[in-house]
Amino acid sequence: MYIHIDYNSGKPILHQAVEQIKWQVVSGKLLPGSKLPSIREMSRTLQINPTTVVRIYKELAHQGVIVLRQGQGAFVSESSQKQSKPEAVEAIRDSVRAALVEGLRLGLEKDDLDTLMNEEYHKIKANQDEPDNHSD
Amino acid sequence: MNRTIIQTEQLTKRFGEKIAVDGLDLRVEAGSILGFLGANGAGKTTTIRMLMGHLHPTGGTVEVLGSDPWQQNQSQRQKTAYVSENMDIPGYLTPAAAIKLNRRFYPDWDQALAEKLLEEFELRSVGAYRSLSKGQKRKTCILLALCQNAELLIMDEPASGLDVTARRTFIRQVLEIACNEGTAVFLSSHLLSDLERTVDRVTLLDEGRLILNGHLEDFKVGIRKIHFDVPVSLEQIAEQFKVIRYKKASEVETVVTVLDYDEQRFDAFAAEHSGTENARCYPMNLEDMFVELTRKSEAKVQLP
Amino acid sequence: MNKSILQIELRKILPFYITALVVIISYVLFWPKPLMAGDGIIATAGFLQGFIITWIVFRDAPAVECFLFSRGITRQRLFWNRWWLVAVLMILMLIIAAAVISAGLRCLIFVNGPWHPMVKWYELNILWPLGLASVAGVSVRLFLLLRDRFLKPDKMLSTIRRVWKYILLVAAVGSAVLLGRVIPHMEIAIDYLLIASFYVAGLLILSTATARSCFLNMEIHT
Repeated sequence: MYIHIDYNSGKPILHQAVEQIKWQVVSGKLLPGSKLPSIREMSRTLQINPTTVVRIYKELAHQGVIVLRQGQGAFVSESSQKQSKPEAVEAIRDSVRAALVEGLRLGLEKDDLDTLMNEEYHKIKANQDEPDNHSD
Repeated sequence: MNRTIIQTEQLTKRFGEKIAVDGLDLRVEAGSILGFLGANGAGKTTTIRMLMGHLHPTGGTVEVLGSDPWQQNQSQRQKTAYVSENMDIPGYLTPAAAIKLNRRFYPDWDQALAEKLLEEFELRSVGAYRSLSKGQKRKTCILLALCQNAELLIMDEPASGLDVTARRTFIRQVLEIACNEGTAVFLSSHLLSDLERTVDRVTLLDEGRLILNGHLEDFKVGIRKIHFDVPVSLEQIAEQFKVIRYKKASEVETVVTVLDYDEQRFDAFAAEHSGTENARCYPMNLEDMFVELTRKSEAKVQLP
Repeated sequence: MNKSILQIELRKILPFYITALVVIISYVLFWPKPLMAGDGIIATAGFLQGFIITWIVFRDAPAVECFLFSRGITRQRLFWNRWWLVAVLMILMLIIAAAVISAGLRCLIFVNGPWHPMVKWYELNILWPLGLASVAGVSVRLFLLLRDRFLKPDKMLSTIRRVWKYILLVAAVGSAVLLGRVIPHMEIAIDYLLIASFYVAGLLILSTATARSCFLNMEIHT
């Protein structure tokens, strides 16, 4: 599993890693039930502090993306749909609003925003349906 | 709760009239890599020397691996590894000979790692230490510290003079050590880009005093530079945020650095005082943070 | 671990030690007049070599000092390693001098001289000034370790510094007086030599104690 951390952005490593792992789960690169690398392996591969790795895993577990099994490691959650649709909608409402506010502030119009949504959606879907997607 | 590896309480060191370290409270737990930062002369090396039992504190206490560094017995001393940019091994030793000599001091010595690093650092067939380049000397000293299987690794500017590849190897090894249970790393360096990924905690010293201490990730979440295109008063911002820098960049522009940025509070503040379109905020990496917090200029605000 | 320290120390000291050994043993071998207890030359040479050897062994380049004092070893251990090394080197020199004389090498060299074999056992008396002066040299240098290191500004220790300067003065004057008494009175030197031995032994114990205390408490500024 590879994650790219941008150290110049000032964005915490935690957020970058959590987002990218979530993306990998959503796009099917990480299959439900598959085992994530151990803390030491992650630290080695990404060359980041093991405490940060622990935090990343804890945050992902908190968000329900992964489960931490005592003595065994971290695994991608089996079922992705634990929440009902209305709950899921509320969960992302803030992020969507923030993105819309920013877009509007930058001068985008509704058509631009629609196109953008579609593009991103199809990107993710395309990765999900690739015949040779495995989790690393 | 993890074991405390280093603990200082109001640690102070005076050299005659000059106060080099002023009331330092520090705590490093096992599993932590602490980045010890500060400008030259800020008191970092003095603090490290007190941790190592090389200098007597003028005031306060220091405990390393549970005891006073001046009172440690042999097995306790064997658990600490030290590298300093002012350190040299006896000049007649080659790196390989230095390994042979050094390993006798440490029963947990990792010879396999020593062999591996000897290759990676390209030190196997070089001559005596006194004939080596600065970078090779540093690599030798670092190698000797990394192979000790120490519980505490204290490093004072270890990577200065090292090329990029060597620095990568060094970071890799430090992270490996940090993955071991019960170990801690205390690292002072000017190479902030290296520290960025390696450390989990940072402590910033300025003129002997602690001005920042905590988790790097938490700081990154909270520290922001905010540009306002309209005048905003310090009082207004200080009501909502912890301000550490405030500057009127021009007639209308105001630049502020805050420590406890929060998106909602910022949106609310911007909406009320400047208009959202007149306020932009920028995150900072470690180097930006360091410069911002230690730069001497009148734009600085007394830290809370 | 001792092997490592010994290796470093020997590397530091051997060149000078060998030189001093050669000089002193050459004197013992080739000095044409009878060797006696009141030998000022050997006393001076002994004092100097004891002083310098101690100086070299207990001194490090600042950067190397930083390395040594951060190893997994107590200062106590390092101190005693060095102290015993100096002791062994002194004893070795005495043994070699004794061996040279006892083996009758001087008699071989000065075979036509007025002093034939009977003299050689008397010549072992040279070991007195050599030994006493060497130990005195070692002691004085150990004392000066205190002055060197505690000269760093530290108000608390200036009192100790003041006191030890007087003891040092007394020791120096006392040594001079005693040796001054010894040299002109060779035939009754034995009694004075015994007194001198006790005195020098006391000096050594005192200086070792203060040097050790200094070693354990001194600050490393590299």
